[in-house]
Amino acid sequence: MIDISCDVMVIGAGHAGMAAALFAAQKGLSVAQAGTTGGIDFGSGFIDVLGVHPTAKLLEHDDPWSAMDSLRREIPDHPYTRLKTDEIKESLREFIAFLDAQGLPYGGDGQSNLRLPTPAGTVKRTCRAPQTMIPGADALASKAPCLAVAFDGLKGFSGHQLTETLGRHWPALKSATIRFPGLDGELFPEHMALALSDAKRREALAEAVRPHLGDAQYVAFPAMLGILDCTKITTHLSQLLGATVFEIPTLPPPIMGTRLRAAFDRGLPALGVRTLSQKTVRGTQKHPSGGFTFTVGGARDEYRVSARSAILATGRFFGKGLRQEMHGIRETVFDIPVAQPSGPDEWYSQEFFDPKGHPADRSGVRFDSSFRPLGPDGQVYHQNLRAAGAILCGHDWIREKCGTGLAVATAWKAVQSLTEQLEGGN
Amino acid sequence: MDLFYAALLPVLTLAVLGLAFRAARAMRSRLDGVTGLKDRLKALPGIAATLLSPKGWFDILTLRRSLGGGPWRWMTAALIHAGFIGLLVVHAFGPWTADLFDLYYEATLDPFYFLRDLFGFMLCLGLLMVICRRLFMPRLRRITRPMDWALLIIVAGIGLSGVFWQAAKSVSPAAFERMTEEYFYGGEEEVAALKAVWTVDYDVVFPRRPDTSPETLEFGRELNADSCSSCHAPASSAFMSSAVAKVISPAAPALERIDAAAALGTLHGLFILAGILLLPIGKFAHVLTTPLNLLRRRGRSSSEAARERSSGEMEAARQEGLAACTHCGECSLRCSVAPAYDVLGIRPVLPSEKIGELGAYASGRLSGKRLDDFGSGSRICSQCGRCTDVCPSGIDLQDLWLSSLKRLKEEKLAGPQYYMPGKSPSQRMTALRGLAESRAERARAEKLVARKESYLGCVQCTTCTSVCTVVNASANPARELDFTPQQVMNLLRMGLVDHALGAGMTWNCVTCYKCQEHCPQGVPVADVLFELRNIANARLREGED
Repeated sequence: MIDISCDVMVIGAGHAGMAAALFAAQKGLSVAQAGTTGGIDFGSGFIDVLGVHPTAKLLEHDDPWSAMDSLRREIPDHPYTRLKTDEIKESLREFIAFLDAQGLPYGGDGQSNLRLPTPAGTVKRTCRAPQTMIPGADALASKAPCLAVAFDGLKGFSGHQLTETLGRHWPALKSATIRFPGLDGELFPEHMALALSDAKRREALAEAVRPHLGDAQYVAFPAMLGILDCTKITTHLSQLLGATVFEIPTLPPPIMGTRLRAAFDRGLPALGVRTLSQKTVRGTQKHPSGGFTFTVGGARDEYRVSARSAILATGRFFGKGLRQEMHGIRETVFDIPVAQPSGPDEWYSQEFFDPKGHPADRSGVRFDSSFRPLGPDGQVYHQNLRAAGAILCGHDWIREKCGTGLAVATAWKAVQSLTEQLEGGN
Repeated sequence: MDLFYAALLPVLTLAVLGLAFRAARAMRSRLDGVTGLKDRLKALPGIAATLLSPKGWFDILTLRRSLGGGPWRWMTAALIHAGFIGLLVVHAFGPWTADLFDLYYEATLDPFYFLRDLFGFMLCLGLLMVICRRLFMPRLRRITRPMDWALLIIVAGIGLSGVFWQAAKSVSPAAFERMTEEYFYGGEEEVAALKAVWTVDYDVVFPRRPDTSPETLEFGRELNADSCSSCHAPASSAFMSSAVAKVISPAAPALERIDAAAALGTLHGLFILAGILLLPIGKFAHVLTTPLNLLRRRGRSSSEAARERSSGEMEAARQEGLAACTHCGECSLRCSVAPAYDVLGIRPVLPSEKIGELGAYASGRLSGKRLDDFGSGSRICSQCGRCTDVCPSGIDLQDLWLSSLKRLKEEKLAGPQYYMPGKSPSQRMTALRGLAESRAERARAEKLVARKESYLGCVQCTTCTSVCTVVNASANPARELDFTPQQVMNLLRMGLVDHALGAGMTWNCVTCYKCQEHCPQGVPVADVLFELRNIANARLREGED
């Protein structure tokens, strides 16, 4: 076993884990991070802060911040009630600045929600979005002539579906389904993105699109225009086509997942984070004096991490932070008590698409104002432990459209209070 | 030793004939299967030219390439080489060396007396290290052959018999008597004084220990200086045989009775004759072939730089490489696919074993199971090049593997891994249908394909396919690979193992492990694909038996 010691062990490699590792490293703490493929690999890349509240009424908002004020009043145990608006904005600013430096610029003013087209032809409200997708908001708002390009073999992205749904209010939206130059059969965004790193492929793609262009001022592609070279590729295609090129997210696993992971894989180790990629925490030991010892590994124990503190950012069910067992929901790393419906019968509503959502989707660990998880007796579980992201109870990020914002902001606050505590202790 | 000198000439003649036979066989042996004798003869001037390579000579003299196996490996090689060559110079060819330096030669005079033991000690120490290496490294012990022990026994035999011979002569009073009779003139008192000196300074064990008082010794040393020391340095110069003499001194009378000194002398001669006689055989020849190969390689390390000028020279270089193997096993200790040998027990998986079989294959002496195993070993090799990097003899092993693999493929002997990917899915299915579970499959402790838990977590999210390098390299995955990784997992989930075994994806996977590293559900995708292919290989192999 390899021994590692650090100030903070970040458990989880989704949005919350990545943000926590980033913020902690930027504050000068030594950080180790473990976690497998998770939320970021399946996300659209949109940074939602708050899109819907109350969920039962499916009420969508253009101003996330005023919506948040009413959410704080109406859902008192929601993680957002423990955060000030300025803190959330600051956390997002730092997070986005990091991604920008890694070659993933973001757009949106951060004050109001953008309205962006989805591959299903619906309109999604989100606070910030990758710069390559931003022109979609202008195209949609101005109803300008636009060509949506779909590809034979790329599943879940249909030009016809876009024109059938969005086109009802946007007559100038046209679509064309073409062959991707040089690839045949079923297509996958990552392979297309890699192919487009070659300028000749981009020229061939532009040639294939040109006959369908007409008077289009905008050209929408499924999100696959490069990985960390997406700005260059989008600009090049815009020049070749003489129209503003933008991306519409695809079904998961999307290219934004690859881009975000690439950005963190490069950027975090550069800040000194010891990333134990694709490893999980397999054993924990809490020391009464404070601090932890974790055993970390893939199929077997590989590392022994002595950490002064830890941040739990393991997500919910898909992230494997929570596990549904026969009689209840368990937290998987420390076995911290989980706030949950009284029993399995109460987990789910009768209707899958019930606007109120499912009670199990608000379960998670309880926490105090410093995002310290609470133990069985309602007391702080461990002085040096924080939790961030989806593992916190009281929110339903999928229906509230607040996933990334909540993950980043709670990670920021958790790091903030942990830093104060560790520095105070010195 | 009269016997030795009588036998030397015939033995040398036999050795030369043997070497000539071996060279002739190498000329006829063809690795690439195309280069003819004429091309090979044309390459001879090129071979001669390599003898002048300064970098080659540097490699020979410094044993630089042994460093690939680490400092201890180099130390071992350096001790043995310095010891053996040193013994040849100061002992075997001592009189010539003395002439060269205008010295008076007598084996028992310094510096020869001391140097003989110094080099002998280096040789023995080096041999001890080699023996320990072969005994205590499990994989090396498994592959060590009688030929390896034979060479070690003969070299150690030459060294140890020499040391013991000297020790037995030292303790022997009869030798003393013989010498004094011939070279010493003096009365009983003088002889007694001399005996005292030879007891103390020269390790002789007389039946009755003479008086060794300081006065007697002082007198004796004067006599010794006059009559003996012009030919005899004190025993302490030959520190190793002197130490042995002290150890065996209690047994001196018994050794005297059986005339052990003469017996050990004969033994020493026999070991040397055996060494010369065996010189043309197997790794014994490496004393000649390895330096030749090092010169041929002219200090180069990577395969890229090894291209020779003509096909004849290329083939000559390969034959020199084949002959240069000392079966030291360094390559097999570093082999990337050695675990396949540990599991399957197919010896030619290991480079040190494969090269021996390659020699037989090149001269058409391989058939049946040995040929099968050689084919399997060649197939399992991943061409990582580590064997080439560490080979102390500088053999361009990777080039040997690539050229032999090419020929195996041409002769349709490369095995399923080479013919299966090119077949249609239905041909693959037909080839595999109805084949029984193999012995290797049954013996496996961990069965991934058979355990549904392996892929139970799969949510068909296509992450594995998105990151797959093989799918990425394919212009049309559905046509070229039949199924993508996540689809193979789905086949298995549905119990369609035969379909998965025949899928192009299974046969084209390069086991880069990206799929497994990225899977959000912890499905061992690459391990499963690899196991599928191993299962298919083993079934086809046994199906052919």
